[in-house]
This record gives sequence, structure tokens and C-alpha cells, in this order.
Amino acid sequence: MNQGLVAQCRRLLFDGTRHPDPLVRCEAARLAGGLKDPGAVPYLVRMLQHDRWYSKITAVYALEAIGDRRGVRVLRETAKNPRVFDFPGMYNHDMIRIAAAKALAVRHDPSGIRNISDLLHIKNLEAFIHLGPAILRLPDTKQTRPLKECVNFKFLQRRSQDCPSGILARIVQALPFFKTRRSLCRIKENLRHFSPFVRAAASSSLLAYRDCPGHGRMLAGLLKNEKAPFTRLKLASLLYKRDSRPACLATIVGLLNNRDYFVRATAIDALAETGRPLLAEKVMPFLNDGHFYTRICAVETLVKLKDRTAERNVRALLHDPHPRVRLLAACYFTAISGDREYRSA
Amino acid sequence: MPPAQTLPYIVPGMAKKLPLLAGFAKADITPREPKGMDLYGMPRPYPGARGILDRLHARACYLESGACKFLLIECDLVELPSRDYERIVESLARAGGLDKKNIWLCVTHCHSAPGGPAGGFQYKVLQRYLDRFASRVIAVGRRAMANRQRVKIGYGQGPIEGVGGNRRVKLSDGLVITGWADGPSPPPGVRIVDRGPVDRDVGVAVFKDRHDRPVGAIVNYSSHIHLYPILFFSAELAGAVAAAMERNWPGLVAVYTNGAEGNTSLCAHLPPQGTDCKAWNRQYRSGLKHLSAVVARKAAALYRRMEFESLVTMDLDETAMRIRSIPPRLPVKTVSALTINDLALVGEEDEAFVEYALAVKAGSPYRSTFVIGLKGPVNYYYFPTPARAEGGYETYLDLAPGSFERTTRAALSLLRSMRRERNRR
Repeated sequence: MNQGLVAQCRRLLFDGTRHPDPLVRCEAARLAGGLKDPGAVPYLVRMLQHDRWYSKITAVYALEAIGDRRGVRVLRETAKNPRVFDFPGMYNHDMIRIAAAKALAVRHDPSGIRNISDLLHIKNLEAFIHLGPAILRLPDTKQTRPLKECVNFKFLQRRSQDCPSGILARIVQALPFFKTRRSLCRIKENLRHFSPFVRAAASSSLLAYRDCPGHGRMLAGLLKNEKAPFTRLKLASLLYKRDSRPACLATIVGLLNNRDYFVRATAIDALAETGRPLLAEKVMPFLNDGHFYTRICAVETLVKLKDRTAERNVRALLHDPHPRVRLLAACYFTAISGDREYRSA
Repeated sequence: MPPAQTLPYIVPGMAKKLPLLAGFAKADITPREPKGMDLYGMPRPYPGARGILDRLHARACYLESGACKFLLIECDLVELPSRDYERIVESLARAGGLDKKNIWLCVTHCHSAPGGPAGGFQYKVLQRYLDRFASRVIAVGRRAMANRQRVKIGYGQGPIEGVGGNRRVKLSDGLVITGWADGPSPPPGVRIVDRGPVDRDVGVAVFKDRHDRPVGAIVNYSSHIHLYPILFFSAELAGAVAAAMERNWPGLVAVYTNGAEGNTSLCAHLPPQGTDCKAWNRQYRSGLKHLSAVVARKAAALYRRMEFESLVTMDLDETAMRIRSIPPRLPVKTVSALTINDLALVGEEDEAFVEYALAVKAGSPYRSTFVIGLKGPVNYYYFPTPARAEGGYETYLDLAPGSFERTTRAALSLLRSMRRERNRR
């Protein structure tokens, strides 16, 4: 692999964190986190200072993944006082603070869990969904025990009644961490929610709660009757990862040529989750797909499947008209060069 | 035996064209006691206003052709106070001899404006403001009706870039986030897909008097009009565009109408770091100046290409349907339309998603179609059926599935039937 090309690709990723479009900046941050590239840390810290909330969150996740001490220092400051980096009166500051605190909690960093009990006491939904599970996974110590007691299922249960689909899906994603019968009941209730995205989240949460034959059979039954392509893909992907059913793989492959670009892209992502390198040939045609998002998913799948045969096709995408596709192509070359391994969160 | 009266010869398919009369007026509705007043459109908790950045106005456009009379009033507020709505409409209908359904009382959806429930000492201040507001709006409507004169109309629409953008961002797990963090953030690893669609069209209708001087204009664009929260009253983009056009054409009253803006916002323009009010206001003004200049330049470009017509066929109609929702909104939802030659104005009561404007414009049998939203005192976010499954700030109303699509079809059906009826006459 040409080292000059790899250096050029790294530069492209770093410059992506300063692109005028915040969605491109988010993509660059996410990929830098996936590559765990310490060279991206100064750029990610800058994103925390001057950016929109979803860019800041992505930058926090990337710093968490990279784990560099400069990044951890910034995360500590953000967990203590997000107003260092935020605009007053605009966003939910606690959201950034919670993301930073969670990043430190996941690393078992003591400063991440000191002084955050106030976040749990103010009954912030964000804290219960993201920080709560991280705290529940911490080892039992004198410091963590009072925090774990604050994190309870009742608050989530109350908030999950009559809430919009977006909030409900996030609550359902957090439920597996609360190993109670009530949280299991709530997951099962949402397997039949009107929103296909909530159903998908509930299916994933069911197996995350407990991966047992009964739950597997339940999801197989749901897959038989499910009509929404997105949920079919998620169910098929979960069941294939569990026990490699050929019918599930056939379901995924069958949806690759769906008219809707989002379904095609989700099917391509599902192929990446199978982890089977031989499936890379099915993804290749989508490098020339008409929609940029499908091209992005195709490149990222090839990165995850560690396929080197697509090198020539992906090289052409370094000049793709869409900046996010170019970033993915840059990520591909950085990942397959052997310097960095790509692992999305 | 007297000769038989000969009727004017009517070509089949050509409705009779009549002269158009139009009148315009504007009134200042800026609060007299701004300090401490609630800025109704701002996120909570929020401190009261510190002052006035620029003035708020109510702008009226009265149109009359033959027996058809129409009054449009746009107010720089986030929503109309329901307290006096019926009284204002009743009063204007009586004053002008109009049918109440031909009075479109709308708002530009200005977030830096007064309104809403208020407690404590604020209650009396707000009640005084609302009293004054009601009398000002009635006065501006009457003045527009009194100012009517024979005019020529020209209209057009065209795209602009870099002003409005869709604020709903789709994620790879199918859910949606919005630009200001209204709900739980996505977990790590979730990819951002893309923003939703945007209606890039600016619509402009200009009315010239017999000396060929522009006396009034209706400008239409679908986007929320605020840049970011500030502590001052401001007419936001609506005021800035109207002011820019009124500077370009002295003597003109520009009525800015907001379209289907439920899921669109103005692009970029974040506030500066820190809490310096003056810096925030400076950047706000400069952002508005830039964005309003883009819209005003397009309006000028469209004006240069306009063909003006002095005889028009003007029609008004509306259709109503029952929409089931939780919480229950109004018992019936109405879609209204005003057509003048090849221009159609479609009135919509709610904050509809931009998909409504795109669908209506794509299917409309008229050359220029403006969608005017936020009509009346009760405005909900009105969204396509798939949006509820995706979640997001705007989807709290539990609409019966297919409601949005029914309304879109009803609007198109209304326009097509009005066109057919005109062709038949």
C-alpha cells in the first residue's frame, strides 16, 4: 500500500472535521473514532468547541474510542462543565456532559463518575438512557454503589408511556441493562409497536436482555409475519448472527435491490454484520449506486469485511462528487493499509 | 320593437376577466413595554426580553375583482392569540363586506415575539399588548381595504440556495434527530444518513399601480424564520426580507408569507461563543442581512422577468375534512385556495411539513403556486405518516394514519376543480 496515499487519506479525514457541512464533520469524527487515530484528537477537540450538538456528541464518542490522554483530559473538563465548550441558552448542555461522563465511566475513569450524581438526581432522560447503563456495568465499589441505586427502571418506565417513537426507541435500547421482569415485559410489548424502528430496537433488546432459545423462536416468528423491510432486515441480521440460518441470509440478500435507497443501504450494513468476507462480492455493485448513502454503506461494509479486492473501485471513489463518500474511501485505504484497524462502535 | 340585446361574446374555455383592485397597509405591533416580556417562541426556561432588535409589524393585502373579495393579514408573531381571533375576523368581515372564510389571518411564525400564557405581573402586560394588537390588526385590515386601487399583477417563483434547510436528520437506525437536541442523542456507531427535503422556491407576486409603481408584494418561502434564540424582540427573516424589498421599492408594502415550514429552518449562522448580548445581536443582524439579501435579490430577478396583467379571473374556494388526532385539534381541517389567472395561493392552517408544499406545487395545474401556512389561531405540526414512526420533535400529535396524505390530495383536488370550473365558464 502506497504510504503517500495513506497519508493523503488521513489528511482527508482530518480536514473532514472542518468541512462547512456539519453532517460531513460528523462522518469524519465517526470514522476517526473507528480508526482510533490519535492524530485526529486536536481536530475532535476543536469540534467540541465550535460545533452543533450532534457534531459535539460524535466528537465525544470518537475521543472515547481513541482513548488518547489528551482526549481524556478534555472529556474530564467537559464532564465537569460543558459550558466551557457550549453556547448558552441553546442546547441541552447536560447532553454533552452526559456523553463525556459516560465515555469516562466506560473507561472506568474515576473522575468520570465523581460529581455526576446530580445528573441522575435531576431525572434527565438522557442520563438514564446513556449514562445509566454505563454505570450499571461498573464494578461494585463504595463510590459506584450510590450511583447505581439512583439508576432505576421506574423512571424509564414512566417516561416510556405515550412518548413519541424516537424517544421510545432509545428507551427500549437501554432496557436490557435493567435486568428486571418489568423491563423484559416492556421490551416484549414494543415488539408489536406501530413504528418499524421501535420494533427493530425491541428485537435487538430482547436478545441483549437474554439470548435464549425462547427469544430466538419469538424473533423467528416475528420475522415470518413482519412486512416492513427495515425490521425484516434487523430481525434477519440478529437471527443470522445467532445461528447462521441460510433463510435469514436470503432475506438480507433479497432486499439488496429494493427501490428505496435506505432499505438497500440497511441490507448492505446487515451483510457487514454477518462478518463473512465472501459476501463482499455482493456489495461491489453498490459502489456505483445512484444514491450517495448506499455508496457510503457499501464502502464501510468492505472496510468491515476487510476486503482488499475492491481497491481499484474504491480508489475511484476518492474523487466521488459527494464529500462523505470520499471520506469513506479515505477510511478504507487507511484501514486496509494495516496501520489502523477499523471498528465501528 | 327594440333590438334584441346582444350579450358579450364569450369564448368557450375563457372565463371573463375583470379589473383587479388591491390595497396594502402595515401597522407596527411591537410591544410598548418590551422589558421583561416573555419571548413566546423561545425554549424554556428563558429570561424575559431585554429590548427590541427590530420592529414587529402586521401587513395586510386586500384583493378584489368583481364580486370576489379577499383579505390576507400576516402578523410577526409565533401564533395568533385565540382570545380575539373571532372578534377580529368578524369585525373585518363586517367592515369590508367579506365572507369570513375569505379572510386569511396568518402569522410569519416569528419566535422572538410576544404571546402565550403569562403569569404574575406579566399577565397584565400581555393583556394590554393583546388589546392593542387586536385593534391594530383590525385597523390595518380596514386601511388596506380603504387603500384599494386598480393594479396590475405579475408573479413568478424560482429557487434559491443556502437559506432554508430541513432540520430533521435521519439516522441509520431509522430514527430522526433535530437541530437543537430535543430528545435522547443517538448512541455511538449510529450513522447519520441525510437531511430531509427542502422547498427551494421563493414565490413573489407584485402589484403595480397605474403609474407602473410597485405598491405591494406577496413573498412566499417555506422555512422557520429565526436564526437562534436572542433576548430581544425581532421580526426575524420576515421583517428583514420585507424591509429589504421596501428599501428597493419605496412606497411598497411587502407581505411576507410563511409556507409549509414545519420541518425546515434557516441554514448555518450559529451564535458567537460567550454570553455577550451585543455580539449575539450583531451576528444575528448580519446573518439576517445576508439571508434576506438572497431572498430580495431573487425577488428582484423574478420581478424583472414578470409579465403584468391588468385583467384577471379571481376565484376563491375551500374544502374541509375531518381529521382524527390525539390531542384533538379543530373538528375540521380546511384547505383554502385563491387563484388569480395562473397564480394559486393555497392556505393551510397548520405547520405542515415541507413535503406538503413540494407535493402541492408539483401537482398544481397553475404556473405559480404559493403555499401559505399558519392560518388561524390553532397550528399544529402536520406531518406525513412515515414521520411519526421516525420520531422527532414535531411528531407529538397522534394523527390518524394517512391524514397528511388526504390533506395533500384534497388541496390538489381543490386546485384542479377550480381550474376545471374556470375553463368550463
